[in-house]
Amino acid sequence: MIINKVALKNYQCYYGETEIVFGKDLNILLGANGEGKTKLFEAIMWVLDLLNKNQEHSVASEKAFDELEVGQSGTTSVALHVTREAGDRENYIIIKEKVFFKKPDGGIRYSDVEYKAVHETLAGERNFISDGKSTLNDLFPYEYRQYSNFEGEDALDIFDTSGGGDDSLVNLINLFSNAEKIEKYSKIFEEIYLKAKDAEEKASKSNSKIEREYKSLLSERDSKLIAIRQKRELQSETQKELTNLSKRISDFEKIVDNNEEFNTLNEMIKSREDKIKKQDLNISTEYVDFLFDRKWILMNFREVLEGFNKKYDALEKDRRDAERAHIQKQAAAKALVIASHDFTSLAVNVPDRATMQEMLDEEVCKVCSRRAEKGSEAYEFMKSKLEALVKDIEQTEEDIPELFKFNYLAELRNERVLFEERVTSDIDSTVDDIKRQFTLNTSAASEIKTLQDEIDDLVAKKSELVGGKGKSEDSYTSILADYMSKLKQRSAKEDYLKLYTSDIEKLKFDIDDLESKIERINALTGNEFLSLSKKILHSLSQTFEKVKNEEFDEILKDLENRSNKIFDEINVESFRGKIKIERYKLVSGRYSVGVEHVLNNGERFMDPNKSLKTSVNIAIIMAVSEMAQSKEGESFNSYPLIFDAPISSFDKDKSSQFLNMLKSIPGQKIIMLKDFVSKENGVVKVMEEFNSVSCDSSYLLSLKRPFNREDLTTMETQVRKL
Amino acid sequence: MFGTKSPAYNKKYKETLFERFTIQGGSTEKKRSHGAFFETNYEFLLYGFFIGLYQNNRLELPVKSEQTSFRHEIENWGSKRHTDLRRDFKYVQFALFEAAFLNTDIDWLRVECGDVSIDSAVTKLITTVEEYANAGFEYILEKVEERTSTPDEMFFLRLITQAKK
Repeated sequence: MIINKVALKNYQCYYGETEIVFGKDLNILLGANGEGKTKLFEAIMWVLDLLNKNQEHSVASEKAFDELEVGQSGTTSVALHVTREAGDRENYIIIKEKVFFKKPDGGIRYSDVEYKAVHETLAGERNFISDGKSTLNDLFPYEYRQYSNFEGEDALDIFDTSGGGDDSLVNLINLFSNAEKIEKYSKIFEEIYLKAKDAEEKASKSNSKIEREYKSLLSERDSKLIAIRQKRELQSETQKELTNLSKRISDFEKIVDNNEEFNTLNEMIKSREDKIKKQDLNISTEYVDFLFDRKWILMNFREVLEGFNKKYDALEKDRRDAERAHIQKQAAAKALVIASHDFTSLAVNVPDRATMQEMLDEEVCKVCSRRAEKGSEAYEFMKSKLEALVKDIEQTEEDIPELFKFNYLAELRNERVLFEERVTSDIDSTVDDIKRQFTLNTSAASEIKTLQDEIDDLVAKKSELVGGKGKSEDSYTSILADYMSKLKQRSAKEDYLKLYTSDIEKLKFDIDDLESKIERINALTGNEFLSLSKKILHSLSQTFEKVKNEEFDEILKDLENRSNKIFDEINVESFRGKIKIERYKLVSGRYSVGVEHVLNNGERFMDPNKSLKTSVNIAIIMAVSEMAQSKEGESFNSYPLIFDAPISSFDKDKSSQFLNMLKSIPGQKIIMLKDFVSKENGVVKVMEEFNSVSCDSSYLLSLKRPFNREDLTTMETQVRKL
Repeated sequence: MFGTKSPAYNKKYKETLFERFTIQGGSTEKKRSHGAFFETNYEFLLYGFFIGLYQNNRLELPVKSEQTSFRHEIENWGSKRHTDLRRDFKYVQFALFEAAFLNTDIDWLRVECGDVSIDSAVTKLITTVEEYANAGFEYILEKVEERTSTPDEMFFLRLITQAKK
């Protein structure tokens, strides 16, 4: 939707009729403090039905009211001239109006609000629609509208989840993702699954033998299902209450928002919370996984290892001995055979080879203790005997049949060496490793406890401080009491939430147990086909659930990338860090989205200045808007974003840089700024720097001079096109 | 080492232990909250085996019809792990073998000679594994039943650290 024009009639300081025409991209309304910017912003909010109820009652122009005689009436109205898309020729006018009367006592009385709409067709026909609000909802759905307006710099911080479960970003992401569509399918499958289950159960009932048991199982399961539903309702109710409470608490805290001490306390709490998160990571209790991954399962294995080694070594030795004995036995048998046709007294291997060689070297026969010089007959005899022995040994080795056909033990040897290399030291250090893990866990837990105690103290200090900032003695006491009671309520609600969550877990476990019993009966009674269909359907619905979450995460990643791109553009030459957007699970099991401003190394950005904080918020808002327009697959209307003084903390250079960047992002933006104006001798002027800003339309809002701030009937804002 | 053989276990532990304490493809988070911390059946079998081993308890299995066969061969244990977080199972397979080897009466020299078949030797090793695991399961079930609340990871760790003869 595009706002082409806003027409005001007697709306607060906009006396009489005022029209402001907007372009499809960037529109800037300049004005010094108190000259009517915020009133214009509120006028647009009023017609968009986004104004607080307590701001709604005094909408009429004091000047117009002042001109009325007793009994006369006037009209306050704001009309938006809009089209679905830029350049569309089919127009809609949404009008909100109130009639005001001057009572005999001079007081004011308002009629009820009237919401109307006019539809101008292509053919130029005008149709009046009495329910203007439904036309508005059709053109600019509430889900988008609520995130389209930002009053002041702090309002940009819609994604801060530190207050406890702000769902803004979750809601927005859901709008942009196909998650809802997927959920529809998931629901359809869930329904079919339930029907299949029903059919299966009916079939099982027909078997009378087990009917009674079956019925009691079903009724027990159904009552648990009812209980779980009730607990879920309580859970969701409590979550809602918690969200509200957190908002209230954060409202209270805003009272002291500018207090330095208060901020310091907040920082101190945050830094402790961060430390707790880090310590949480140190706690590892996956002991079963560690049994295998850290070899804890071998904690008492040392004895087995030693026993194995002993047994294995003994076996290998036995094997070698047996082999040696076998060879010797065979060789001896062979030698006896050779000896029978040579010298009768000695076997072929007596003396042995070494002795024979020794005798030849020394030229002595040590058998008969006589010299045998080289060339002598005795020497030649010894030489031929050695040759015969060598030949015989070679022959014997070839001829002896092998004792062992297999060598499984040798195959094991390699594995054994590898095993010893890899685990021996692990086995010995396992007990230490377990102790170390326990020490780590205990110290992290105690560190967390200390930090939590410190946080409790800091929170208490904070509460004292909140009390100290009340406007008067009375409100001081009541604010403090209220704040304290809200804090108490929140902590109680959090406890309840945990309780419900654990109850639900327990019920689920019981139900699973009952289901498996029911399933067994179903299988017994031959409903396998139905059982199978049911299982398939169940797994399909689970798959859809998974896809839904993946889709959600993909969109978050996209949002993070786009936000960072815009963030970089806003802060071109300055140190800025990065925006991190992540999904996390709440205590209740629901998901929430957290935004964090981090340094490039991933650590939290401590104490960013206001202008940097603002640009983080703006970057995300712009990224969301950009995503809305680039959404594929269906015609997706873009919606205007309306800001009142969003960049007060920016300096002029950064402001113009920012506005020019904003112009390049598609979609309509309407911005009210106090920058670029100066007052000279009571006259409001636009500064030269504004010339470097490019936009579709720009206006200067200023009060008609002279006026008296004490007398509202003298206040009248005029709009001048620049 | 174990060829293509795999151990069996007493059927009564299928429902009371295996299905309860192993994740086996279900939703991990959910099953863990119910006490299922073992990723696979073979992890649980190993756990039972080491408990029996450390307690030096063996318990014969009932007749075949009362057994559940373990289709996953020991050689392939751990092969289904794809994540970098979990390490391989080679070491634990060899530890299993060493323990079975040590505690099984086999005349290995006769096996090497070919007088006794390797197949019958491996069958004996598997029987040893099964018997230690069986004793381990009996002990685990007893301890689980003594408990009033769902077993947590600490429970499983404590059982094995205290399992020493």
